[in-house]
Amino acid sequence: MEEVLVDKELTILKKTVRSFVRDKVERAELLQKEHITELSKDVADTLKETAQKTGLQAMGAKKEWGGAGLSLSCRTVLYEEAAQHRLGLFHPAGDAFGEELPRFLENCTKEQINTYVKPAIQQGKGCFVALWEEHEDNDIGKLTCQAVKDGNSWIINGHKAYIDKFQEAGFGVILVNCLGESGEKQPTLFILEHNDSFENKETVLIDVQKVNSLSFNGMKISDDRRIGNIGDGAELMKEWITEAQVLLASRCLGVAVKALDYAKSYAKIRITRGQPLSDFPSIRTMIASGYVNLQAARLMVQDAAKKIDERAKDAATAAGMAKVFTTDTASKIIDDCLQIHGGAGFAGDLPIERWYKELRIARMNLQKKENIIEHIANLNL
Amino acid sequence: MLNFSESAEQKRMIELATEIMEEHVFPNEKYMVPHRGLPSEILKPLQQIVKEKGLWAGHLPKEVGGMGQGFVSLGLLSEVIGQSPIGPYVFGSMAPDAGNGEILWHAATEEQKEKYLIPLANGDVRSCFGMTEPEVSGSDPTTLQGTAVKDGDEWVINAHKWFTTGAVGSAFCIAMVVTDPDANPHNRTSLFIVDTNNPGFEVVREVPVLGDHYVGGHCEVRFNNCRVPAEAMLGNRGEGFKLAQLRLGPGRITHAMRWLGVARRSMNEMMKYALNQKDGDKTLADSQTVQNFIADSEAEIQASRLLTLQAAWKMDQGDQARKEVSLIKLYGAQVLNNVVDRAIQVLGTYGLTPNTPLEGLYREARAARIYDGADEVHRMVVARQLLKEFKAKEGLNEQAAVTK
Ligand SMILES: Cc1cc2nc3c(=O)[nH]c(=O)nc-3n(C[C@H](O)[C@H](O)[C@H](O)COP(=O)(O)OP(=O)(O)OC[C@H]3O[C@@H](n4cnc5c(N)ncnc54)[C@H](O)[C@@H]3O)c2cc1C
Repeated sequence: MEEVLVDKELTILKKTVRSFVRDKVERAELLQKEHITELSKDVADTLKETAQKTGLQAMGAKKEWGGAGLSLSCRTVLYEEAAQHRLGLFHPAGDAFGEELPRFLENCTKEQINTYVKPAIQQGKGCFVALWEEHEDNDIGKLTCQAVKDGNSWIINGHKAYIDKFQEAGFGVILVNCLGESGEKQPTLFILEHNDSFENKETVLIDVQKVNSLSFNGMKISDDRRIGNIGDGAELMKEWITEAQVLLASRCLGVAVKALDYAKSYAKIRITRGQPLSDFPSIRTMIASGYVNLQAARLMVQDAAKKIDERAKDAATAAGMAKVFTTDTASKIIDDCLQIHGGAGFAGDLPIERWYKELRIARMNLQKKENIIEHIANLNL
Repeated sequence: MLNFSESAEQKRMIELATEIMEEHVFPNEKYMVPHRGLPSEILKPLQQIVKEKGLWAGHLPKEVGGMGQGFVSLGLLSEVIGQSPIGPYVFGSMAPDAGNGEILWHAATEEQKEKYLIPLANGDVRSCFGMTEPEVSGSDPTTLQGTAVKDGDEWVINAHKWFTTGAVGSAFCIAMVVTDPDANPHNRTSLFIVDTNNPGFEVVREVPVLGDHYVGGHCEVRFNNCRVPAEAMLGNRGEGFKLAQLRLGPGRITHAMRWLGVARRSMNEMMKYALNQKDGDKTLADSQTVQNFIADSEAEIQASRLLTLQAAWKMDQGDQARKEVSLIKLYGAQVLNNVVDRAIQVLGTYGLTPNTPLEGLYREARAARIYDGADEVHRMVVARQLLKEFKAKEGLNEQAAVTK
């Protein structure tokens, strides 16, 4: 059972995360003198150790796996805090709390849990997800990577792309279409190990995010790597997407909060034409509208998280809505924040330009707006 | 009389430029180095081709090796060459050198022209422009703090600048500093030409930035008791502000038309992808959502294009076209960002990979809403101008809503 915290406990935990981020993570970022694009391994490891001591680890993973077993509602609150630093959108709290694990791992066998999941949690590592393909990053139904049965194994052919945190993960999960007897596609999940015989290429998205693509040329994989039933893969992935959208949105809230902080402080000290920027209605409107939309986004994120926790019927829709609205809102806030800083916003001394790039990725991640909108149209028309 | 067609000469220019772009510019983009552009062994021969075909330095008069064809032609050419980040370098017409060339042409003495303008116009050297300071608002140049103090026959410059684009590898910097602190705000500054090998000139660092298409970085620069002779002053004492403005008018035309080139390129990427990407029996281009992106982008590009060409035309008639220039700066920069963003949206995550030019264009595009006047400043200029015109007309009891 997931831990449902009462308000008071959550408030304390939130404060703990906040001070960890401010005192440890932000400081570590500031201490690195050069333009920082990632934390050095030493620093990251130290942060991880410190976090472990405070019990801030594997927040979503089940207790019996060694995680904290917090509900999604709690985690969204904590990730909003954890994301409030330069690298925070995709590396909340400098990755010190370990990675969120997809819920579909609950379908793993005991042996799979012991071999892959528990060790990953112990090491603060996650699970990479090989889902999308180079030209298909939105519609699970259109994926082409395939597996055919070969005795007790499967032979995989195809290509996966845009895999985030590939190296850092303890293991991976891939979605492939197992071909049934009459050639029908049965989407299925399999566990991947780093030394499986796929080809692996790294690329950088919009000059900020390392991702990997994997090629499978007749790679053989044993059936005991399969997660769940043959044919269940798409549904399991959709559950993951639902939850991941809300987690992404909660981190977007965090960087948006931080961006508004930057915007406010700068607007108050930057003088132009004899007045601080904060006196100009153009700038006041940007900041005030930012707060309005941020609050709406936050409520949508909480609503979606609650629905997912309750396994409500419309959880996926709520998650999609929260994702679109929050990524759009955070994009606009960061765009305005960049504008308010003028040249300084375009420069990497401040984290704003990084967020600008990362938000462009976030808008595309998991499900892009057009697909979510189409889904909502389908529901209502 | 209204006439929207290019002259025979302009048509020829556009065709020729397009040919050079296709044969020599696009294929060489792959050699582009972030913040450094093309290696000179690749760049120089390409520039030679442009010179031989007579399309070199569209912004400069014929006397110094430019085309001298006026603003409309310059705009039309900028649109074509702007499609590639390296185009304007190959065609010898890129900020900040272009603007510096224009100031030098207008304000330099014969000796200065000989020493600085000729090699610059020829593409033998690069230059930079040092106005913006980190400590004060670049939107309000009356607040500049860097100074030059007269000491005998020399001036001693002390200043801290940043966003001095292209400083790495530049031969000289045109610096804007306060010479007359007690004068009225618009007459306090003067311009100086400072050789970058002057021991008082220091490139502190290349500031890390979002975009990486400009050559020579966006640098933080210091003038440390930097001594220059009296002859280093460019234009008259106290004219810094006026000359810097002079640099911006034409610059905004070339920027705006160059942005349209970028927008057009992004449109093409979007349409190519949409037509090739199969979705069952259909393609992505059959999606009405994608079609909306295409139509909206076209509407914005056309609007911005006509606005810009009209401003250029007015400038060719000797009008400063201040309001129009502000409008195209404001609107054109937004259109650019909108179109690149839509193109990426159509390509999906693929549009964020280095496999297409879009992600680089997206990062670079964001600066357009800041340099040469932030959106908010141009909005203010346009609104004030319109209100002034409206008031004047109301006095005459004319129909106030129609402005020309
Ligand atoms: C890519 C790039 C290249 C550049 N190259 C050069 C160069 O070669 N040489 C050089 O000297 N400079 C250069 N600049 C600097 C550029 O000219 C300045 O960034 C610009 O003038 C804005 O000044 P600032 O950055 O100090 O912002 P500020 O003046 O501090 O303004 C910050 C923000 O405040 C807001 N604001 C300002 N005024 C108003 C107002 N009146 N009403 C409402 N809001 C307002 C705007 O949102 C603005 O973006 C470059 C900048 C960039 C981004």
